Amino acid sequence: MVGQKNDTKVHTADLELADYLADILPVKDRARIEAHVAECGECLARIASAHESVKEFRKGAKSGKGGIMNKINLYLVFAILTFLLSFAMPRYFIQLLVVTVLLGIKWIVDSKTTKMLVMIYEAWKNGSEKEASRILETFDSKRF
Amino acid sequence: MKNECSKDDKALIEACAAGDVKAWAQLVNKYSRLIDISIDRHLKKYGIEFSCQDIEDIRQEILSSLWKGRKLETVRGRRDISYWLSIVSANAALEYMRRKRRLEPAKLVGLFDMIGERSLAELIPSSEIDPGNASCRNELLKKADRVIRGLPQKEKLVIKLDIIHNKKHAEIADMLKMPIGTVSSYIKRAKEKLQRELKDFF
Repeated sequence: MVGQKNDTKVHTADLELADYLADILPVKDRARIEAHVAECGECLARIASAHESVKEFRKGAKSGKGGIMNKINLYLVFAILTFLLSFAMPRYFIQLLVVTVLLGIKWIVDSKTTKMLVMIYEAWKNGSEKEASRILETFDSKRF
Repeated sequence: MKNECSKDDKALIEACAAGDVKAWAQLVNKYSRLIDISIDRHLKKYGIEFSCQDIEDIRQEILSSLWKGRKLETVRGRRDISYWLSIVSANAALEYMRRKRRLEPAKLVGLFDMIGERSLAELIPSSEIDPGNASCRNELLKKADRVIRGLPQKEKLVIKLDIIHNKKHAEIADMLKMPIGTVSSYIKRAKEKLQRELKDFF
């Protein structure tokens, strides 16, 4: 094991931890790394952060490729569709209207604008106006 | 997990290692967002405050170490460098904060102290702990730490991911490549033990 030394502790090498997460290590090496991270808080934090970060990165890459027809916009399209259908099929008017409302709520909750508002509210609640305006600037520059 | 993100890493890294500037620009474009996410997540994990400028500076340092420091040589032949790059970014973020004297060494050893209120509430009935009483909380955490240290290795790993890192059972299962049922039973067993031991604390 090629480890890196921080303070007084020897940690597992970055590449070994990465290979562990990518599931390309032999069983014996996986067991050795698990034994280490079960005891070492820093290495556990490193793999926990990497797992979360890569997941978020891949999720963003996937939804970014969908363009206008990504999952969130699909909720809006189906909401409009069911709303129009409710007039075309008066027999199921209430049912279709309920579906419209549910899809509409899902679209609002999942949209980036709402997430931005929640982040600004949380930053403002924590008393950091600077942080709130930073979030606003970041979102503005990305034209969300 | 293979997807669009990891498709061309091998060729891209080879080209970068050979000094191809165009390939380097492509790599930077592909992974800058991952570097930012990783810095953000890891610093938040340690409760360290940072600004957009800090992220910018750390990202520049990482990219410079990859290109000028030829760190990419380490991952030659790999098809997917996402996890490695994320770990490298997390290390660089902590190193940057250490240099700027915004990270006390105690924070690193005391990660267990960052156990969330949700996890604490799950272990102890709310009526039995005063959230405002810091010394009581610290004593409780010390005791919980001792109990966790005594758990079997797999249970220890899984319960730490659950209560310290607030991971969902499915996420732990995905991370450790374990069946979700096994993860849930490890957590259940460990929590029962913790609850039993911590009950005697009061």
